[in-house]
Amino acid sequence: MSPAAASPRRFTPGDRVTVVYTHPPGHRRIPYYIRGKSGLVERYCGAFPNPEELAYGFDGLPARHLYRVRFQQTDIWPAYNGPVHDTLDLEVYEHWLRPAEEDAS
Amino acid sequence: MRRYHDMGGQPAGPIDTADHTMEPWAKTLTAIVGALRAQGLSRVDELRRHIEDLAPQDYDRPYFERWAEAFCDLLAEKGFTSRAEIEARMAAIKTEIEARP
Amino acid sequence: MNDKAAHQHAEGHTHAILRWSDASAHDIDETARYPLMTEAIRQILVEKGLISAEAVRRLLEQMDARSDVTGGTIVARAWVDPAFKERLLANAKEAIAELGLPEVDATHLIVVENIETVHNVVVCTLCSCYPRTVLGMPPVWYKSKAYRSRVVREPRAVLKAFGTDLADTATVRVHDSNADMRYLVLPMRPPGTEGWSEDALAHLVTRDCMVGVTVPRVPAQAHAVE
Repeated sequence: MSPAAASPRRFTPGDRVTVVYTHPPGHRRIPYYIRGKSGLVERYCGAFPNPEELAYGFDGLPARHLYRVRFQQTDIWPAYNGPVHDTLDLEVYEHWLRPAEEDAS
Repeated sequence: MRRYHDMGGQPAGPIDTADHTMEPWAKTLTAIVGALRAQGLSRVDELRRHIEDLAPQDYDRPYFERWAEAFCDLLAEKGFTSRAEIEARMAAIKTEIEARP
Repeated sequence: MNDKAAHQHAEGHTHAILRWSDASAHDIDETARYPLMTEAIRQILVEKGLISAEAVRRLLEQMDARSDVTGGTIVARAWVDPAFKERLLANAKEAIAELGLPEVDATHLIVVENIETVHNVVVCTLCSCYPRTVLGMPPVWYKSKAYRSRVVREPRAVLKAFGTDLADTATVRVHDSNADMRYLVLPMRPPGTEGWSEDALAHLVTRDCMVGVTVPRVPAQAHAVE
């Protein structure tokens, strides 16, 4: 059961978003390979206590919004060996997302 | 900087697709970790953090050995036990087993 | 009487190791580092009252009870009942609850469907998150550095290593289950299985095809079981 998040959702399915490009130390649930990449919000997954805080004994509240974001593989990897329509989906916490800039695609 | 465990997209060799039976100690370890979690005394996120914080040579151990080392670190951090206490008990158990007829 | 003494008394043995439920217990070296470490930790945590031996036993039984049979049951039902399939894709937890399967917690499960134009494959690059509740314990390869590193970047090559060759007209969709959701791939029902019973269909569904590295295959001599 998702605990209530403190804030309204910033993003909705179909929004174009960019993963924040930053490399804080410690337990992070966003892989290195996707930082700075842009994709589309595929669905809202719910609100969850922040695992990056749970890992250190905090309660992770208020819960953070989690989104499933779809990326084109050709946007992630240089020289991706496959068709341009292949995708990669992963879940991104709201604090790791910002709206994609118009000129950043 | 990319952390060692964060390996998506890194070059790697062939995948060994064979099935391997889970060793009994690995099963028991999984159950012990789960029991501590069910008591509310640890979280999966804490164990993940300890696994990620292992030195590369320890991270490179087989999966459940990695878990065991990280779990020792977790238990010590929480003050439930210490490496010294665990190692002493291991020695005692070994002596007992070797003393069997 | 502490747990260890009770065990010795009841079993008539002098060893300190838990009895496991499978036959593999007989050929192990109990004095190797990690079996010793596990038993040491078990004894210490039980003695300190942090866990109970009973809780450990119950979790071992639960692990033994869980397998990909559960996943196969769900897939077979989706194959024979299109309305169930739609409910499964929309809300896996509620749909699976209809089946009354014991001990299945599908709270954070997402079922992703393979179709002619889309093939799904699942990984956890950061650790080894896996839908244990419907598939049991993950295979060693799923947790390996090679799989975790390569399947996000070169999924088609990895699928080929498992014997799965996909046309360029199909989209390969990789799911990196890096957060709270877990994924189960709903494979396509193989042709030539019309009229098969749910039970026979469930037997076609292997763990590997529910992770997405293979597709179900009808064995050459297979026949429907009524």
